Amino acid sequence: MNFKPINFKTFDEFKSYLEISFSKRDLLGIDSSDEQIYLTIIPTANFRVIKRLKDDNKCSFNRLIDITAYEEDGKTFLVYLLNSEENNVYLHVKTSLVDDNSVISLYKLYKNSAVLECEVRDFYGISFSSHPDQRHLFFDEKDCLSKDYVEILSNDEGDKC
Amino acid sequence: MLGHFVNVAPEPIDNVGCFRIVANLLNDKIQRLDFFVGYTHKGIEKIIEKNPIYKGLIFADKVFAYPFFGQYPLVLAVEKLMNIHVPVRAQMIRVMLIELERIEVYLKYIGVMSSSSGIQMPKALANRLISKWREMINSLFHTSSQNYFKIGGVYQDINTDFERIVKSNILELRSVLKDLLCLTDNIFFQKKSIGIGVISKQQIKDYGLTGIIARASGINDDVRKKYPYDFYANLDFDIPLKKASDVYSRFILYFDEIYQSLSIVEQLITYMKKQAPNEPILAEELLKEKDFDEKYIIPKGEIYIPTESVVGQTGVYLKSDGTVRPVRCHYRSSSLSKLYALNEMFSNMTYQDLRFALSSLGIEISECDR
Repeated sequence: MNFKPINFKTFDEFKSYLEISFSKRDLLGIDSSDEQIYLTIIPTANFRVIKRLKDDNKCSFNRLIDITAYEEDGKTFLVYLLNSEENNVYLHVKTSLVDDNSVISLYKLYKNSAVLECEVRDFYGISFSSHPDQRHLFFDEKDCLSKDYVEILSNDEGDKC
Repeated sequence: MLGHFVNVAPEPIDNVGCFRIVANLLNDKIQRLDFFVGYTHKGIEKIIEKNPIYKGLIFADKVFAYPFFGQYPLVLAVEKLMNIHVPVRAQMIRVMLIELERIEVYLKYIGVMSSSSGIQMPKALANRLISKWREMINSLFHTSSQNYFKIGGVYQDINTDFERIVKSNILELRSVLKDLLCLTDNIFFQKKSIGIGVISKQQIKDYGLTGIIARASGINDDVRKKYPYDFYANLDFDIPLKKASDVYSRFILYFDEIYQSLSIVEQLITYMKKQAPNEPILAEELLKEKDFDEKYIIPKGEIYIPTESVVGQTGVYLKSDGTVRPVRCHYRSSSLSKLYALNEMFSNMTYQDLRFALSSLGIEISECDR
């Protein structure tokens, strides 16, 4: 068992605390396995949910480990990986993006989110509003790692073919 | 913007991979640092997702310049989702290999740091040792360092004469480490490193920095202790910590970590000696004769597995939909966050300190451009 019973006696207690912390409007589901918790939220609530997770003294998810995305059944999912050193727990915050593929940047909460969001934007074409650094980090083209990406080749004269 | 611009690099650290740093200087003070990566992007994550996992694993060794650190988290993540119990002997061999590799990489960092400070002799000494160490790893594990990790175990058993080979090499290493550590008494080295490149605890927290940088500032952060994987839970070792968080403390920490890795290796030798010969090195489930595409089906689910690599926390986020190909395999890059933090960490530093300070961070570009 890696979970540290300091603020909560058991892992299940911690999970149920998270469940009641958020309104049902924001939180779509909660699950857990292997001492990792999976939260599913609505895309517009990403900033306020993660701010709450960070500021809450009992949870204290004070480290953003990673941001990534994946595509399944024609939908794009954005995943935030958070770590609470105090409770020794990893948390996945997942949201399914629709149409405009835009979410709020977490730069005001975690500074490393800027560069991680750059990577996700380069690979999956997800745009982040109020992002401090709009340049492309890895590729000039957008979303070239998404499943439906088609490589556009050009001939010597520069015409797309 | 005032001042002038200097292209640092393309390769400021003697390292695999290519990146560029542009420093904006006013006199000799750094005003701003911008980094450019992506020159050698390999798209490994995409290749792993497109291939069956047993084939994708072969490409995972390109994530790092040191193959085992790239394969290890992926293997652990797949095993966790497949619910495979790895035999104890295979766990021991894996940990031993990783720790021997860690020593080699830290020796390389020590050599690079000493040459960046302007003192060349220790680098030659370290390099000589590294080549011997590399030969030893190859002879121990019967492999030229590629594709040794398998899902559910390892490729081959360790050399039967491992105790003699490792112990004789450790003896030599300890004597060379003493010589290398003499560098810290050098007054020029001290002047160049003490109080240089200080990174505050708040910056470490904000940018999610891990590894040596965190431990040099007194943050007790080591995945091997916090989330023990494989055989680490049974081993007794310390996490060396420093408080100054400068280049000097990071240099000393590399030595301390090597001594801890040596103690782990010595413990593993005693554990392995007690074992009966011909212990299994591959999980039972995978020994059955079956079609590979059936045998390696990853059950539906998602997981994040962290491991302690040489640059900090390296983890794999793996998402599967119940087929042999994962939907998403994502590596957590520690170096990318380090590069982004450079601007805040090292602005107001003088230009001549930059190269030395950079070499102490342990930045691996192959990990960013994965």
